[in-house]
Amino acid sequence: MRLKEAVKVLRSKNAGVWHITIDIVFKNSELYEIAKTKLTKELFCELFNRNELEYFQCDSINTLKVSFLREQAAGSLKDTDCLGANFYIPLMEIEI
Amino acid sequence: MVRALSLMGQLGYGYNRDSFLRGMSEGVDFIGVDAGSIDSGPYFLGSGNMKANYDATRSDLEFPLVTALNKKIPFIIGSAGYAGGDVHLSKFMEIVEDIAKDNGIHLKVCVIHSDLDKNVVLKLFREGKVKSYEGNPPLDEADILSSTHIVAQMGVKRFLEALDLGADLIVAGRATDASIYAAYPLMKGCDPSLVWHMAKIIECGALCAKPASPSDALLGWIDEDAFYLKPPNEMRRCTVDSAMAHALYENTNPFVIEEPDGTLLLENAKYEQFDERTVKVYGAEWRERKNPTFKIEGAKFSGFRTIALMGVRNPDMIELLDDILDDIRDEAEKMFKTNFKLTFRQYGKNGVLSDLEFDNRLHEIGLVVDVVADEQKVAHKICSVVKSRLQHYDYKGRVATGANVAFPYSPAEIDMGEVYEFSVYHLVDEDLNRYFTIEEIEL
Repeated sequence: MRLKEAVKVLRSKNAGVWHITIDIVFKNSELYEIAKTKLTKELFCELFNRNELEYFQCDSINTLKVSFLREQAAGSLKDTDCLGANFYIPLMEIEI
Repeated sequence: MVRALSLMGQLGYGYNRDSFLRGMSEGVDFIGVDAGSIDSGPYFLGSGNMKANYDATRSDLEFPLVTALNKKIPFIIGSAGYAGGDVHLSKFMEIVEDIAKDNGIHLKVCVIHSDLDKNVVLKLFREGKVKSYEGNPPLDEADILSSTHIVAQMGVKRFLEALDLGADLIVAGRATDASIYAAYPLMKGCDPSLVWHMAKIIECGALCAKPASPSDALLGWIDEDAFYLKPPNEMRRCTVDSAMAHALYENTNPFVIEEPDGTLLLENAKYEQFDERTVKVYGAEWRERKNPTFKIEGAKFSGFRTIALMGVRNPDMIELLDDILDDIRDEAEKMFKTNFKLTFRQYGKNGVLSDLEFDNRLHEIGLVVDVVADEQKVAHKICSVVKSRLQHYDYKGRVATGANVAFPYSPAEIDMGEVYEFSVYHLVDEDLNRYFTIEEIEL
């Protein structure tokens, strides 16, 4: 099953001017528990080319959350996504 | 019990009059609305322009404000004029004055300022009181000096004072969204843990309902043990999931929400379906901060932008496009000795995800030539030259000698006007409340 089929919400958004945060809310605890073993902090670091990021497992709400620094502040000359709303795209097709 | 009505997630998006009236009919103690954000980028803070214009703002504000005055309940607005600087506040107040005049109403307005003088920020910086925000690059003096406007996000303190002064309407500059909704129930003595958690959720209006909408209303009420959320619009419901998921939204940490006045801890929050469209929430913990901390925001002028849009469809050219663009950039840098920034955006290739792009399917590229320079005419000239180089570039294997690219528009160059970038987004370890002055205005 691909991640996009296992979730109720899969989104990214700015958290302020300098951070991206990704919310992955699973349809149920079974899918969440399966996905948790696959979607590790290391995987996110690799996918988003980051040395460091914040990684949260929210067991009570079947949710994974990941936050990291942007390359540049939102809306800078070289920024491609002022709202930070497309950083979930590399996750959609991941097989869990 | 205290009952709050959140008019909508963002003033100016077009409110729902039926929902507003239905919400009001349930009995409401105050109305709140968030009028701004930092979300739409640096332009609004930098330029001093509002995002929602006069007409959009007035049509959302007029009827609800007049209704609140008739019912004698306070109306509380935060981040007025979008970015909350003094220039935004005065544009916003023109609208309030026109509404009062045209409806023959009298009201007491408390305007709370959040604009910070550069010298104040410079002094705080030199005293070592400005820190980086969750790992972003540290501030330097040039960032402060180059800013056109710097504001601080205020907490709840001045809202409380404005209510004490008997304000019918509070028009606050840049403020945390939750402070808009926390003030009134705190004044009435409600449990701060419940107050701050409710305030944090209802600030987005019906965005925490299903189906979600930022332009519809939400009711929130607090009793002794819990708070409750319900959308007045009967087509929407608040569910455990929708309310819980909203706590994650735009926060880096799902369990901790930092406010100037304290920290809200959500680890033990409980959400229950109270009735079909209402959620009951309790269990979060509010820890008041001994010394408040504030987020400051600044934007600087970066020049004038001209862009040109064109489509690249020839597969041979697409194959070589990166090299072609490098070559044209080198030429432009040799030709123009002035200060400018040239950005190529290749939609269809990596225009959205940039270096994170993983999909290499490609048959057409929407190319944006983006030039920022100190003067509009300079940006225009450079963009024009780069555009024509792309049009006629004699790449290896070129067989079509007409034009290399497709222009959808004539003229191809589009002047975009002023460009701003964020210069300040940092934390200040000092009580800034003294700079959030209250201006009392009788209309």
